[in-house]
Amino acid sequence: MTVSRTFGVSLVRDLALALDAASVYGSDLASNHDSIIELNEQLTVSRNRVATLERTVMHDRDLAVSLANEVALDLAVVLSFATSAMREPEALFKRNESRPQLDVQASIDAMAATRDRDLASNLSDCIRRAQQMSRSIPGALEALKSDRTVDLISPERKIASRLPWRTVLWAIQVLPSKYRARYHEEFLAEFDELAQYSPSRRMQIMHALGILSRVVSLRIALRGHPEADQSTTRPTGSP
Amino acid sequence: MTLPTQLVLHLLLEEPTREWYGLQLGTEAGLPSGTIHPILARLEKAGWLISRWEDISPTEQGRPRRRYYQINPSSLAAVQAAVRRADTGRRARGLLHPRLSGGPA
Repeated sequence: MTVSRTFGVSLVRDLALALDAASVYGSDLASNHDSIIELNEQLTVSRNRVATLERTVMHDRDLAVSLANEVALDLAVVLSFATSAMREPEALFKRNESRPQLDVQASIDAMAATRDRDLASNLSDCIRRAQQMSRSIPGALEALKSDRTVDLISPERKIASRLPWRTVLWAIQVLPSKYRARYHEEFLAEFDELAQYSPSRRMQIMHALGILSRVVSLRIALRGHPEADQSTTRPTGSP
Repeated sequence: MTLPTQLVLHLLLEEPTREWYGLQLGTEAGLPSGTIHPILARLEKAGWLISRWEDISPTEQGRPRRRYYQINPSSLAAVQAAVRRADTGRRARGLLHPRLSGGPA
């Protein structure tokens, strides 16, 4: 009887120890499971951060390429103006050999002043665009330090380049006077849109040249045109 | 009827009630810059197109108004007939354009 009781007590004690051990193992298992979940979450966050960083770096690279392209284009325009400015006085001298020297000098001065104004205007455009781009750089740098993304495109509405637009303004003068206001606004809207979606000034110059090359056709097409005001046009009959 | 004019009319006839602006039409039709305006002026003069200014305030929107063009509803049948005639003539001469023959431009 005593032996049986002692054995029973020992059995209960062993059972209690086994239950304690099982409880510890269970607790460790739960803890490990939580750790695995936490690790998985951290891996997901890290992966997202890497993806964000990659996007930001790509965006920075695009920004740098865009800036380099703009600078190269502006340089090309400046060189073009400089070449033109160097050639035109010689041509003017040749054309005006029989004229008094003072007239020739005045023409050269006027031409140089125009070229200088255009150059200054183009440089001003270039600086303005560079300023717009530089405003987005701090945001990009902040994004590199954190896991958030930033919009590198300036929220400001971009302005059409002046040189192509001046070309079109000149072309509009070829049109009959009553249509100038209409096409002025219509072309202005086109250049505004081009400036938003095609930041390259080359596109705007090409568009201006296209308009310039067809302005005589437009003038001919406008002969007898029924519309001259700002309202909706009405049909004039069968073609 | 010139090929660019046919391209523009085909585009306009795809959705006769849709309004287009010049740059959009020229781009969609695959025409070089500046080509579209003489065509639109001729078609408008003929009464096949009507146009209107976009109904926005440029100062509020911060951009100039667009000029919208669409097929004149009263000339729709005439336009369709003219385009059909032009298509027939073009096919007879064996001149095919990817967009006009139903393929991509």
